[in-house]
Amino acid sequence: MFLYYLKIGMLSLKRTPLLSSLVIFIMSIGIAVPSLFQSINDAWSANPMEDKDPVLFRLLLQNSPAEVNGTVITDLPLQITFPDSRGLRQSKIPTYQAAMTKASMRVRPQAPDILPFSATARMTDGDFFALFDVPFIHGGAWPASSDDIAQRHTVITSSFNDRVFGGGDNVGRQISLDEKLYTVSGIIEDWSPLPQFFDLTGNPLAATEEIFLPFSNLELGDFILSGNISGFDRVSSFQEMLSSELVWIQYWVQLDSPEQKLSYEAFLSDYISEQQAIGRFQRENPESVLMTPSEWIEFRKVTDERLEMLILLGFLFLLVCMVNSSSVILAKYLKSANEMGMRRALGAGKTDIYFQVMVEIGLIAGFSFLLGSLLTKIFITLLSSYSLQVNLEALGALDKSINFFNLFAPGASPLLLILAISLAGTFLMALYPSFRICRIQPSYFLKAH
Amino acid sequence: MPEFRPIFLSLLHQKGRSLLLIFQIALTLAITSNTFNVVQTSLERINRDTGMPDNEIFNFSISTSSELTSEEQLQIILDTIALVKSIPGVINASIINAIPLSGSGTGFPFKNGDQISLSALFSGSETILDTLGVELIAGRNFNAEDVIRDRNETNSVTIITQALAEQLYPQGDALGKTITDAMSMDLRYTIIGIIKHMQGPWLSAEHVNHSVIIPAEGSTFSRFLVRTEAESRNRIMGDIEALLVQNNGDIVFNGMSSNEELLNESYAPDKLFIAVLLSISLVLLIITAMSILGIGSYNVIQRTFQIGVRRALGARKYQIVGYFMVEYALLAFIGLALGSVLALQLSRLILANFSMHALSLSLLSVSCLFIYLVGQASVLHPALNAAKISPAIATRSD
Repeated sequence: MFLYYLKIGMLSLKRTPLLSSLVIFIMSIGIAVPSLFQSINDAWSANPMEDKDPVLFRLLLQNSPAEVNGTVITDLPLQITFPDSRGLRQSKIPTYQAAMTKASMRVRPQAPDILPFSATARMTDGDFFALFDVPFIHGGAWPASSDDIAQRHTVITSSFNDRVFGGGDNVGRQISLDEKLYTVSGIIEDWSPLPQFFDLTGNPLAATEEIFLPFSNLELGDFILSGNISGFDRVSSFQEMLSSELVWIQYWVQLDSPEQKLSYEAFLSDYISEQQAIGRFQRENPESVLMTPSEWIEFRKVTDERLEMLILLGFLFLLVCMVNSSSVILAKYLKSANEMGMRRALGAGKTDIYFQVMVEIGLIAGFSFLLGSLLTKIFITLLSSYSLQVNLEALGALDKSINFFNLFAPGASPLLLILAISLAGTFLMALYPSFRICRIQPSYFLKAH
Repeated sequence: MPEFRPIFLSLLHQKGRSLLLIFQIALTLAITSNTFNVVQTSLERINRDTGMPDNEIFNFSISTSSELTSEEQLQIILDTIALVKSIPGVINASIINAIPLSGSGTGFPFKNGDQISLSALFSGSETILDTLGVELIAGRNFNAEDVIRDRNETNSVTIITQALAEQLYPQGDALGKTITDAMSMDLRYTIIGIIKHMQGPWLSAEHVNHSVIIPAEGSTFSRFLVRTEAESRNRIMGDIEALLVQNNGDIVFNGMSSNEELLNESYAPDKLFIAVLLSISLVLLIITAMSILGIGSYNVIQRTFQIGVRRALGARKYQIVGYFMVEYALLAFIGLALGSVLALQLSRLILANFSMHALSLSLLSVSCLFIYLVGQASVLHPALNAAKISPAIATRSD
């Protein structure tokens, strides 16, 4: 019986080809637009470390003074100090841990035909690569000893490798950074997670650095820090920066089990007490906070008011499309009321008619879903290609940010959302028209006009 | 002119369809007018005056070897300025600690008594005001004696923007006063001049119009601001890297950008946003037109017999057309009225949750007119078809 209804449903749709196509078209666009905006919003605040989310933690410490000149300080600093970054290393509890920050460096390639240029380096501990599953092509991270005693090693990305050495396995070769020679210990694939979850103190969509150096090198002095620096101290030299209460360092740990986390939290609380004894952390209850990547992204509110507005407008747009479709479907049914009346006269009950109508609506929902998904995919592809063009122009300075639509993996489309919207939207909009058509008396149409 | 009463009465007979159309028009108006409002607000934001002649200014930065002493580094910086100033077409040049409009810089909360205001801090050569191309409206410009050469010096003269002056000194007596930073209270800057307007590094910040400028010189500066004649700027930007490196092979050129490039980059997302909004509006209007056209055509077909009868009874063609146009107009009128209420409500919702202006009545009226005309034009086609119906239809009896 169901197949019969499907068949007459299709016939009915074909009987009014223009009106039927119009409904399907309008509903498809109404579905595609909010789906598109929702996809953008999801991509924007996506979590690149979703798989490892439960075991990775960003550490925040409340090292700021309790009050400054009468103003009470309550905001949690987003980064930590250099003394803390070294002090925290005492703990062997985390499976992996890394401090990190950015510095701007002069690169002087050996090849005489390549002009020296500036590039941003990420100063970090060797555990960085294990923490975030950064893929290596050649070699690996520097030896763990370099994290304790500064040695001039570096890990570079594939693009950087191409630019400076012309490609190939250059592990063991040297590169001049800030007039000092660093040995390449590994080459990684181009790696730039978006948003740049491990930092998030600046532009969340910044491109990740192409050079990585051991954090311990900071002790050797005089780097040009290029990240966010904030706090209440005033310093006039790099050495003073290393001992000040200014915060400019991000710290991440991996704690695989709840026991590990508890034991690390105990360490943190002991560490703070120790520091209080030497005059730091002078406030009543200095807190230490551990946040997973998703909590951290949420905390930093990686979203944009414009996107939220688009989502609102998108759903309103769907609403208008539904009302439009409702009018058109009503017109279509009133047109085929003859046939309905005939069926009623021949003995079909109200429920049979209703069922037939529902099948037809279902067909419309199905077609709208298919066309809507296709349209969403097309819109996403269009936006991605636009952003690619914008970004190509900006390429040159390695620190330029990637336009926010670059986030899209070409296959991304929230099919489940689209299906839900298609079904709910189509059935809701058809509610009134189908109610109206089922009420029609059979006799009305049996009279001759 | 067709009478309103019969049209109105016949509409009452098809309440469902009429209500749907009214609702359709109302919602379309609500959304379109608010979309236009958001577009307008975004355009205003993009077109804000930066306070500087954007087509004359660019910035570049360099990096020097760490093996040089501070004196040598300072000398390179001074030589670079001299070199740049000697390029034909350059109006002036200055070192600078941070670039306006670039998204990165330094800021402090400055205070006067109890009044605290966040502001960007700029430092540069005594030529900085001329290089920025900003307008001095009170006090005097910097001179060579004002320039601070010691990094640790916390006293200085300063020139601030009018927006900051008005906030810190609402009585208008900012000139001659000294501002301090609200945190460590060791900076003491005496106001010697006020500039009319300048945007700072962060275009989205509330304090974008607050800037504090001090004259300073030192080996730690790496950025340069250059003001050129508008027609020479591109040429100069093209030549500058080679020129600097030729002059001193130790210099690493760190990139450059013009004010306009900085603005484009900052506003690229806004422009895309506007494009998306306008596309939605356009699609919505097309859909409205298509559905009114479709339903209008259907209505005409359904009433073929009635129209034939009217024609047989003597109605002229234009009266038939007029009938459908008036029918639409009646429904549109009610729809637009309802829509205006909805539009204002939606505007209030948007205003409460996003940083937008309220929907202005003039924009609402324009949107009303627009939607009305789109619908009216769509109804025209079926109405004209209706007029072609032959009176002979009335004589048939099937």
